[in-house]
Amino acid sequence: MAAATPTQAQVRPRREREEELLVWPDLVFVEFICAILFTLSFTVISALVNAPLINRANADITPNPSKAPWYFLNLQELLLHMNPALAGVIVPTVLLIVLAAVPYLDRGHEGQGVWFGTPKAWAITIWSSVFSFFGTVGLILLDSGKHADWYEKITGKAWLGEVWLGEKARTTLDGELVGGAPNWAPGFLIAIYDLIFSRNFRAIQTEWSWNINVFGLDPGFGPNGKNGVLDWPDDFSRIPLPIINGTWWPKWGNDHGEPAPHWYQDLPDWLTGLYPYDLNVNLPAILVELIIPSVFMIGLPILLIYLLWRIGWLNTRRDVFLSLFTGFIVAYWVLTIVGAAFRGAGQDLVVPWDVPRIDG
Amino acid sequence: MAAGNQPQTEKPKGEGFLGGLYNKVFHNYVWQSIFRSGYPSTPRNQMLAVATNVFLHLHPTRIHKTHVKITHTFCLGGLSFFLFLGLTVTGVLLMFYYVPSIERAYTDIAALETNVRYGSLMRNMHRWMAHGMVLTVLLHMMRVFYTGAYKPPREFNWVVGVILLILTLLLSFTGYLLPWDQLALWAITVGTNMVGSAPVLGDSVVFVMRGGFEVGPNALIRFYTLHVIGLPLVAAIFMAVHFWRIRRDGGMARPL
Repeated sequence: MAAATPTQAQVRPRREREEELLVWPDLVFVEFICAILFTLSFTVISALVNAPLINRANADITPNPSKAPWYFLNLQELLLHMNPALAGVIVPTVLLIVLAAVPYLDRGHEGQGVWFGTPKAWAITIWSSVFSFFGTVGLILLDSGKHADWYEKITGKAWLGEVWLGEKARTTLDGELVGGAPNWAPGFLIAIYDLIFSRNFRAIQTEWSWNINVFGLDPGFGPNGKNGVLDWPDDFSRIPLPIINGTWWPKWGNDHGEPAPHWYQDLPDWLTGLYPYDLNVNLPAILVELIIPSVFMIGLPILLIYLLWRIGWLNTRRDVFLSLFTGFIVAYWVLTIVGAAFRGAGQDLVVPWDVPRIDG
Repeated sequence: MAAGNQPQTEKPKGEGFLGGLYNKVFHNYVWQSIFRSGYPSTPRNQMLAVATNVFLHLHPTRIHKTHVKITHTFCLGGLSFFLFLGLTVTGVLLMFYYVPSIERAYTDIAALETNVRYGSLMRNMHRWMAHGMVLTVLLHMMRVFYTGAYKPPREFNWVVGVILLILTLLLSFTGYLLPWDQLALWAITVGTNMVGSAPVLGDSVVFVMRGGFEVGPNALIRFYTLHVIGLPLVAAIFMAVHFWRIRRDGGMARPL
């Protein structure tokens, strides 16, 4: 190498003629042989294996499970775990943009032109694969509650309460709390002690119920109305957005005989007329379907990079991207395979031989 | 070059019967109007063969020896292109027998098995090559990444590659609907529903994709048109850019 200037002026030395081969025959023949082999193998495969063709399309009969083509099953798998907009659109869009931007973020010349060209490339790749594999599989299991089901099947004990505290402690806790504690305590605390989230994050939305006495300040968004206590999840699942959907003033105002303020009445009709309930903030759903998945999807790669950095393997940006790309590829294939081979009727997580064959 | 103990002059050889035939076939006016260079048996003719042939001139005339090793690329990019060509050939043949209407689509495909000689072979090849192309394109992307071949000055070609990956997926996805069986209908329904969940624009985009509120005759003709002409044209343009840029950016990446 000539004297390296710090800018991108590192110019490749002129190729030595002895290191070069003529494209004809050395490359063209290899390509030709590749093409012949591929044609032959596809002909043989096509002669032996028929492409699927089942019953004529019928919009009235929904097969169970209905699956997208295999290369989109990773997205379909994501859909089971989070908000559809996040899984089906935002995540793939962001990923594709980041993927396309890789060369603009990693501009160095390290590791160019050879397989795994940086000193720790292999270690980083293997480590990231293992991390991403167990991370993805672990999250899928955690969200399906299968680990708890298996535990209950094998030990015959209930997952909640007994796993973490033991039956005796749980009973004591129950008794003490229900007996003398403030009335927000049982649902709130027992759920935390029970670690119901260790079974399934959706439990935050569906199984975790507690309430706090707010002495009449309850806004009454939930089905219980203004009962004086703040109920989780009911009171948090339909928080109106003021102004935007018009539910705050007119609803609340009219319910209690108070007119909406003038400034509100003066707003144009099209603005106050926006009344879809979808615009209400559903805090438990946002927590479960947007925030927690985002935290994991952003947090795990950061954790991966942090761990590799602590180990001391990351020397350049190339190493960072090697790790992130590997994590992405492994997650992609894990999600695809789980979506294809482990999702049965109702998108239940099952072993591959229990996935029904769709042929009708 | 000439070693000491070899004869100084070559003995003139007679043409003979085969030699005469060879000359008649390959050294005549018509043949030489098609192939300007002689048989590529000398380095000069070998380079000319590559440089003057429209199909081969995608290649440089000489190449670094590490790039010819199969394990450097596993031929993945070339195979993706080859599969694209194979899909074009089998696809054109399928178009002879297929009408994209909900009355005929399913029966046309089913008839390939019984009424058309080599019909199912043709359809099977199209199907498996399509899956194969998605795979080789994905693997090609992994190869390019792990060999660091996206690094300067090849940044933009990586972006073109990502676009080609998306186009490949779209090509496969649009083709998935065409047999008009339950598998096709519901896979496309599930797939387009995913787009529909996009904030703000989702519903409108899905409506445009399907040409209606559900996957029906309008969706079929849209997917068909995109599959057989729209997307292949766009893909061909991006492929041309992709291949051109490989040459312009100095061939395949090498360590500094």
